[in-house]
Amino acid sequence: MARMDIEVKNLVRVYGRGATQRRAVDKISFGVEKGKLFGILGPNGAGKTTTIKILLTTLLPTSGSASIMGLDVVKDVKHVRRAIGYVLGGDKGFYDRLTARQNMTYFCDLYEVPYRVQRKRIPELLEMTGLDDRGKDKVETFSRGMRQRLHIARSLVHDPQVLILDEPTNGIDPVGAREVRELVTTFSDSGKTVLLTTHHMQEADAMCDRLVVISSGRLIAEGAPRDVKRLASSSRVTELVTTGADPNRLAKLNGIEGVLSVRIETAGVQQIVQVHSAVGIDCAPAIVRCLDSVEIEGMTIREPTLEDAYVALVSTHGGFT
Amino acid sequence: MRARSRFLIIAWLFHLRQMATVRIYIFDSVVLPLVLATIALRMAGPSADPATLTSLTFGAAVMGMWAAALSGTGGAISRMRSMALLEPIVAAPTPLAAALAANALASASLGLYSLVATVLWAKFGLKAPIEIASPALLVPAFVLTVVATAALGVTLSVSLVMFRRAQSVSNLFEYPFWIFTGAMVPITLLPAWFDSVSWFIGPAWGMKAIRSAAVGDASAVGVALLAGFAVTAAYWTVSMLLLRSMERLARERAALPLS
Repeated sequence: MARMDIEVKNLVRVYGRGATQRRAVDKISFGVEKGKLFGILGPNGAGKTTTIKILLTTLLPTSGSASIMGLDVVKDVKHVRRAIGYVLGGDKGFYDRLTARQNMTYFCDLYEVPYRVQRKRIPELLEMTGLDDRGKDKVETFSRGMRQRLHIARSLVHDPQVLILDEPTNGIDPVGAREVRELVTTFSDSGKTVLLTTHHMQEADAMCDRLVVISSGRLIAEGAPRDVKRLASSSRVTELVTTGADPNRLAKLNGIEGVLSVRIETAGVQQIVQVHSAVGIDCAPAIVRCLDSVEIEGMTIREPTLEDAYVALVSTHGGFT
Repeated sequence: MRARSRFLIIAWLFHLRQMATVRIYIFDSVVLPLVLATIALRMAGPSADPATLTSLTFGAAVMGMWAAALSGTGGAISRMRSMALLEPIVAAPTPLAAALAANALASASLGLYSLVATVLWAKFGLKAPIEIASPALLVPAFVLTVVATAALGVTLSVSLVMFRRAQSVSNLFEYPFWIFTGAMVPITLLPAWFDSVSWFIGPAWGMKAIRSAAVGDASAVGVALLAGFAVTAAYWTVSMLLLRSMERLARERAALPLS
């Protein structure tokens, strides 16, 4: 049996007391094998960040357990902190008025990396993240994408076996995001275990070996991306492009027999309507009848993507806020 | 131990560099003491006796040093939080106390510079007749004042950590410190209860030690040093206990906004 670098068992985290009590994480369990890239998907408020903070040892679980490389995140705090690297992302997290190299040195010492190792590792990490020619520049001059790459370099100063990344491509332009994705993929290729949260379904589909979908603190799906898609393949997707449709009319699609959920995106005067319906029920005629005089510019029926599966799963569990 | 020592040195230099790029620190530790010394000496006038002018100069230096400590160490945690550095530092294997100690060391270094620069400015810039009966005793008195001021700054910083506006709250402590340490006016000129309160303020002992060194009263310097280091040690102990409690609260109740 493969070694689990991350193990989460019946994890519960409750915030507040009495009437204001809220279960941010509710009996979540999952495991991440050594060298695998594992994703946590979920809408805002699903419990992703709470789970990550428990793994980072900055938050205690209310009940249940979590371990990193067999080390308990509650009892073996110091050892866990040495074993993991993490990227919480964002524009901040550095001493902006100092250089990238100075920041890296500070974090090396914070992680007790010996000086002779630092001398070799800092240039290597800056080169790996494409920042070798900007090492002597102040961080305040960096773009968001460059800061994110510096966050990643910073997370690796102590050469951790386990990397935890919270939405690593959030807010980065497409080119920068692709660079970050390629970088993250190389970590698992080199044997590191990576846990990442993301909103980007294509990202999860392309990168993750396995993933979990959580909603309202609960785990609602788990498996390889194809397995999660299959979980929702009990649904089919009918996609329509309409022009100038009345929202009330579109809302009536929810009432059609066999329809599981309806998702509407507006683009100018057009609406892109995705109707998730149960397999075995052909909803297309009912949809056309329901829309009546609405101008339908196109209609396709297709198998669900991971994003469709995610939307279907989370909608079913009432997870979008 | 070696790694921790190296961290303290590197982080001390790191914070010094960071502080040197921020105008408010430069103003507080470099410009303000000179301004205060100039005002105090000009108000005293050229006819004041040398002992008074010496006392005024040291008082101005300590007032400036406290301003630097407040802006440097006093707001250290809230500044880490606003820069989203508190969480990465808390989640590192090195204790948060070590990171704060490095910050306090940097602040203390600026404070020491502030003390020396003010005395030199008064003596050579303003031609004040600074008289120091025992320069050798002045060295430990300076060290105590700097360390005690940094420790008080750390205690304040840790005590106010739960306040999002910790920096604003800590600024309220600037002027009471000037009075209770005797930096602005010698404590002996104030009502007796001021002296009782000042026993619990480490830098007040530092100020007493400086004044006693200036007049060459070795036994008074000795008492002030002992009491000052004892109070400073108490500050550090209280700060470390508060820090431990803060970290526990942060993990248990998510009570501390880390970011």
